[in-house]
Amino acid sequence: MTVITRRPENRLATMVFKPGGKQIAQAIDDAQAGIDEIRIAELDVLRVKLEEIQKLGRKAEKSATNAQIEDLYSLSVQVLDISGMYGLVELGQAAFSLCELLDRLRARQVWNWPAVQVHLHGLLILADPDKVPESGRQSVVEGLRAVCERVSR
Amino acid sequence: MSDAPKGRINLEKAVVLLVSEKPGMELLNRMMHGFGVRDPQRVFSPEQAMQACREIDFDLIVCDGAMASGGAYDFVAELRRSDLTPNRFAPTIILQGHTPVDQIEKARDCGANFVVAKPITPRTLLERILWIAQEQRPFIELDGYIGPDRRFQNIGPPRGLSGRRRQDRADSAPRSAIDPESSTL
Repeated sequence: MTVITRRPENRLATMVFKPGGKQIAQAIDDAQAGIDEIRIAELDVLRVKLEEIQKLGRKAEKSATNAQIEDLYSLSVQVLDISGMYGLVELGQAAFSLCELLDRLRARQVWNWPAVQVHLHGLLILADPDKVPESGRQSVVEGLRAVCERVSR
Repeated sequence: MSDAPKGRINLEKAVVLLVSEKPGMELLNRMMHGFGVRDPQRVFSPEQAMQACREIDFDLIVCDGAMASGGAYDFVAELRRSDLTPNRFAPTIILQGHTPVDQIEKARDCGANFVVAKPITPRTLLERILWIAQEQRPFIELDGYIGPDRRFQNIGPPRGLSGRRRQDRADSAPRSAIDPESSTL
């Protein structure tokens, strides 16, 4: 087996540490400020995505087509993206668990409505974190992970 | 942010390509502006990304892994195999929320410098950019893989073996990576 090893110029390296620019801490703060400017709009998007997941989930109660599973997966990924960005940690973890569950179901070509349903309930509970203490939110996430683990790959 | 990394970063002249479907693009774009990138190029599909790579030389490429059917991995693999120099060597970061089981090998083998797990915060993304700016991993080309050396530590060949690479034989003493804890691949 022939292995070719190269050392191409890292052009990023040549510019990143040049004089000018900004303090790293300032860059992080500026980026966070930019994200925070659209916080309300993004949380509205998140709410809509959560409603779509619930609606689509209910449609798939008895059986789900591959397209419905794909849509549910895609919506869960979007919930994961936004919730993580705005500090909704447990909601993101629940969305990740739903992604993992749907991926396992998709791979095995089976449908497990109770496992999906409990994830949908979990998302509803975690969507409003102020109403549930942190220990309760963690319990919900751990429960969802346990449900997902019972669905083998 | 008292425990933020010290020092300065200058991305004013960096030519950055952002590849994401529309839902994630705005967040990514705002982060880049915060880091000081003046005008990141934004494209919304792997096909548009390849086209952009034919027209512009990029210093950094950031892809959202959530694009349909592993599109980000396919794009990076295609770019690495292409003859688009210097873009085929460009530092590339893929941001991935959940990796479907049938995409794990693609993620490992596509040739990205980093696959970073979401949720992404400005701090994690900037840390990865700084890592890439300082890393010294060589670029490897072999039959099944083209991209940065996936070994973050050079601990030499297995005991009793001489190793397959010229460097293995010449430099078999263990050497630490800069920050092995940051590896996600």
